[in-house]
Amino acid sequence: MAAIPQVPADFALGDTSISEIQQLTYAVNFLGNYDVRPLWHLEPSTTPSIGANAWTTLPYSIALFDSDKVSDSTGALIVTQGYYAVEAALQIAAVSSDGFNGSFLITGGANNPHLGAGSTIRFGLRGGETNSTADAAICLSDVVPVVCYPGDQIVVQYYVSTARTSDANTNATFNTGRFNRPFMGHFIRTGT
Amino acid sequence: MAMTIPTVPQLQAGYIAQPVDMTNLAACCTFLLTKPLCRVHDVTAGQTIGASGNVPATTINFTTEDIDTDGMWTVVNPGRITPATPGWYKVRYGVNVGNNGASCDTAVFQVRGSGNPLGAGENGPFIPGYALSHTTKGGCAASSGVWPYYLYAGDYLQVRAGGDAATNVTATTDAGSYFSLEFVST
Repeated sequence: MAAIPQVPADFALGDTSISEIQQLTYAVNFLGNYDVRPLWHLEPSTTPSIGANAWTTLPYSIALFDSDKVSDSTGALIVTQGYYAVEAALQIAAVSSDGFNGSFLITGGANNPHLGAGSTIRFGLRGGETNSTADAAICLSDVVPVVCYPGDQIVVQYYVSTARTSDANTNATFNTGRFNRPFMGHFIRTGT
Repeated sequence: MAMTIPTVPQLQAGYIAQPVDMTNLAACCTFLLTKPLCRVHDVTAGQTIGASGNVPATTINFTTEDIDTDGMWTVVNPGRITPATPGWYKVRYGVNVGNNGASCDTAVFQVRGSGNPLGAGENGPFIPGYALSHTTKGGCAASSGVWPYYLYAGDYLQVRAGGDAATNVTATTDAGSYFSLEFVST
């Protein structure tokens, strides 16, 4: 877990303590270094079929970058408390007039005073009716609407009106499996 | 409630750092750790999105504040997010357009306040979005990006939408419309 920096409020003339300098140094490192500040980039390893008319979670089992070890093979299990922003890109092999929506879903863990354990909030909704005869993609981007606490889980979900495959199918096989579908997130600021 | 933009001290060779310099450095870190952030969403639905030509014209209203660390949104002006701290901001939004089967264009506009050196007027549209609502599952026109103009005190941003010949009505199915601003730089 990344420790939230404790920034000293004041420096006094003649103060010989090294601890405040160290606190300041850590704060700068936290702010400027994503090896310290939470950031993740996850990818799915499969292209599961998405059933019709139900929100379905796309599991992300590959962590290309995960500075705070949030990857839980499904989505992101928050480790460091704070406000977060998330983004994702979804694809389906579609035909015209499909309903295709994507969103994020946060589930409260045991520690969040603003979101009871097991309670959920859907956010970052995007989508509509496809009008292509091949593939469709949507990109999601939103700020998580509550302060995230350790144990909260964020997943990415599809909703389609007809069962589809969660992968591009342009040009039969050439493009299949060749586009990444990332789920990314990063710490924005502190929160309680 | 505007935040104070921190002063970054200049420390030349041979200069003996003073307590005020170290305090200013600390203030920079505190500012970045607690920077302005606002997110609002709609729980009411039912707002009619008018038909429009090339430029979206219906300002989308929001009802509920999720995050507002710098006093940027008020129910008195439900269609605005007004940055209190000047700077560059990232915008993220989505307009739930319901399921009447019509298309909807969206974009963000900046209304300049009295403190903007460009004077009164508007910047935009930028950060466009689009959705063709599905008659069963609806749709949500969404987009995101860094606002391409520096925002001064008194400026505010609005999400506007416009439909085709038919009219859309906002919905809250699955999730209501949302709008957020995140400070990214001085």
